Amino acid sequence: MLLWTGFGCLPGLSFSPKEEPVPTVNQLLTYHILYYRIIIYNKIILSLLYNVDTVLLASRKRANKYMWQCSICHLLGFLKILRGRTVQRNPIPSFLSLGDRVSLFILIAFSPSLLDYTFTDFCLEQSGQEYQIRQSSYHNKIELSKEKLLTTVNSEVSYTREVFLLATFAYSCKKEMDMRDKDKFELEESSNNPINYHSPGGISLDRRFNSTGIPNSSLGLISTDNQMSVCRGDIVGAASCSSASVIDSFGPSMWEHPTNSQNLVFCDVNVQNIAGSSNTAGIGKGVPASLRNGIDRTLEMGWNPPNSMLKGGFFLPNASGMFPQSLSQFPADSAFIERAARFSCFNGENFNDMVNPFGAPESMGLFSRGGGMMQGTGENFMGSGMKSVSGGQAPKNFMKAVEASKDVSMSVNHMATEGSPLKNETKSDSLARSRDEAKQGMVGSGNASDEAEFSDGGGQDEPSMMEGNCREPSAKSLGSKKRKRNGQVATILLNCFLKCLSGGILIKDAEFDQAKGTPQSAEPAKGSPETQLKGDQKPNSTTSVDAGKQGKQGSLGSDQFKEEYIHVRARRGQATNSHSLAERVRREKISERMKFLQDLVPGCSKVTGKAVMLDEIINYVQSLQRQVEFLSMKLATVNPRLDLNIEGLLAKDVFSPKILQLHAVPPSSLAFSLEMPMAYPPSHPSQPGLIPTAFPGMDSHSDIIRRTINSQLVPMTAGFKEPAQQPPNVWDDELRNVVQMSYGTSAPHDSQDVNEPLPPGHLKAEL
Amino acid sequence: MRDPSSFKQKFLKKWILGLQVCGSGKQNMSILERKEAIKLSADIALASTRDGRTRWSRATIANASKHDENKVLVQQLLAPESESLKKTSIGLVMDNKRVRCKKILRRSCCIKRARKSVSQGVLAKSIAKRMVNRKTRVLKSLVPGGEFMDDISLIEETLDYIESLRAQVDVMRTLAKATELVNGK
Repeated sequence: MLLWTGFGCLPGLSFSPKEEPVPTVNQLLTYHILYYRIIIYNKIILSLLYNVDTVLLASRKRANKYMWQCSICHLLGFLKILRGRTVQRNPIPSFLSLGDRVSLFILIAFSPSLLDYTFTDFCLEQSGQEYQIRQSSYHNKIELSKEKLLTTVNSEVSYTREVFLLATFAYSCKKEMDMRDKDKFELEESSNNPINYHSPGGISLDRRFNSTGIPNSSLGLISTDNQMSVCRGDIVGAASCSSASVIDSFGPSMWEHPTNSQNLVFCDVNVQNIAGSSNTAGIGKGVPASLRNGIDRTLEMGWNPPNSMLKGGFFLPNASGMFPQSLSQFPADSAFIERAARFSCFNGENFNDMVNPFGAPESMGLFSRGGGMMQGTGENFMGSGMKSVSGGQAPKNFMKAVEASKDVSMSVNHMATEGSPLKNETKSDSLARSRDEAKQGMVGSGNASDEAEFSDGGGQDEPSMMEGNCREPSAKSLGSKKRKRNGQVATILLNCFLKCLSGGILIKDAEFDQAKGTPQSAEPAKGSPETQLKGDQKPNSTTSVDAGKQGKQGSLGSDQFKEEYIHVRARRGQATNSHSLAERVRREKISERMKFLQDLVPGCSKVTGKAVMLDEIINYVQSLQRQVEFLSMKLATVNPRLDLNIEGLLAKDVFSPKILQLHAVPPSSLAFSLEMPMAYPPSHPSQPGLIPTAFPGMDSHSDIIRRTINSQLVPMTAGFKEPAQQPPNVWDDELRNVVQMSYGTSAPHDSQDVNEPLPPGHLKAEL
Repeated sequence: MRDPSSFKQKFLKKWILGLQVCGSGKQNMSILERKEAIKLSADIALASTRDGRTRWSRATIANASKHDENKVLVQQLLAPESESLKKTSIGLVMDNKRVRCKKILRRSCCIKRARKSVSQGVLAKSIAKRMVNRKTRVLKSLVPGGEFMDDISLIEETLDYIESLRAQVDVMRTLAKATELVNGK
């Protein structure tokens, strides 16, 4: 039923950069998006990912680095599995929300092994239709573009806006790849009018997008950086179209250069490339030139948030349907790293703009904007392009957009403003958070850096977008600080990505697993504020304490390319000197031991928190001590002499199986208590009869009995200071022997000899 | 986890031995005296059963040894044990004294910082911290020898102590029941 159920437990991830196709950042992004949603829709998650470590899912904490890491882990594992198997076409669960389905779709699209899944499988048509309809009210251009797009689009598939955006995003990534690789990009009329929805135009757009980054460019993805500016509007328009065709066209082209797209993390040109490439992929779906252009434009923006771009771009291609992409190849080569490094210096402004559009409502607005953009030129395109891209980013956003129609209207407003402030705010927060998490996850997973980055960006964007959607995008005023934050977030994201790129597995899987395994340690960090201001970055300390303790990454400097196997991370907002770290270690130790105590102290299983636990422990200890006192008092009462009156005990025929049953004491104590009397003097022949009736596990208690008898024997001789006194002679020889064996302390041999132990039968029964 | 039944056996054996030692001295003891003797012998027996591997056991023995009247008992009970245990117990007393003195000294020298107004979050944290500290102090007073342990080892000791207490309670309860039954019939 569920997509993942068939895969059982995802294997522990041990991705290494060298491994063959690791999931791309896009994939991770997709997964993150999906995963993030899952967090929100817990039930869906549990049902979807029941094979996944449900501990993560149950956490419900969005800002959960551990979760992100695990999500990445699982994503990678999932993708790995996907790649490695022949996919059976499991029906996509229909209860999934649209965004989830889109995410799934994209996710699957990324996997070459799932090529047989088509867009229709994800039942996106319906929602897509409505969405399109809703969007159509926004701008003519969108309609126009849609029309034009549809003409060239495979009519079978309907593409939702998200898909479109995703495609744009993918395109952007692709473009980046293209540009990077400097492959041949048949960048056709980059300067073409973006509003070239026809296939050729689309192709050109694709080409535009497909700049150097696309290695294969078998699809003929051509990207012309030059033309990006022109295309921006197209992108926007295309985004607005959000037609499957776009996606389709993007898809193939995208997939042509999986590596390129993979590496799309922050490639300004990527978007353009992607757009272009996808179109030129020759999928036949006329990617609206506008889309491509838009993407290009966004790319040109300087540094349009590649994430958003990528997402959009990727999704789109995915939507178009599983292009057999060798997605994995994120060329973590030096060139890419350099480029990534370049991105780290990304201007925050741009990023903000990029980020902002990613709110779902924003995306709606983006679309409209995009439509307008198509025709227009200038800044708008950039913003809208980004927005459109961003819109496509998050299926969540998409979902929200769908669900919150109001957002659409809002988006329009936002369109007007450069970078929706609301989005910025919300996005920055969630973005930062998600980015944080994603980063953490990325680091933790140690997977291909780009993937991590992607997921990072994706994850971050997602929450931000979600929040953006959630909040009424009424805020027109974009706090500059938010912008800055976004930029910082972007920078941080980049840094993280770069780290991944440079280091490959920055954090061992062990750490990752530990992170998984120690949610507790992770959770406090998770809850910390999302926005990771660059200024707040704190150097990670590499205290090698209790490996696996991963606090929130305090800092990710752009210069932190070198790998740091961090075992104890300084939490965000905390000092990173050794004292605080040691303090943290100590705290964690204490909490570990408290857990043990939880098991010991009855009724403490649900208690959390030191104070309450300590309370319980104190109560329990006090109660135990009081019991001891009470029992000693009772014994004192019972025994006129301080000899426990064993004689009396044995002398009475009180012991019978019934007594045994009456006692609710543990067998051990029961056994020996009974045995004591049983072992008693042979003078009572009836007693031996009782003995055999007895005991539950006497064997282990024979010692006790013997010793007891011995000890009893001593006082029976009345007031001997020395234990080695003449025991009564009533004891049988057997008892004597037994006593000799057991009573090893200070009983003198003579005393033991004197012992007249009980008839052998007595003891034998016990023994 | 140590084997509970063997632990109980050992404890019982030592306990009875200790009782004998105690009881051999006097013939007529008041009930309270008896109770004290019983409890004391039980405690020491418990501690010696632990063989001084845990701090609380050593502390118990050390505390008991402080009083001369108990020394005999302690020695009797610990006779089979190594002499080093006794020494460590004695030494523990000295160590604890030293630790205590140091703590007093530290506290007296510590300058009280002015309480700054803190935000809500920090205030809650500080309150929680104070609560935890208070409870830790209580726990330290409960666990023998706890005052001289740091938090981490305190919790470990508490764990062990709880287990031993449980065993002790079980043994005593069984004995009491048996005695009751015997006397009752």
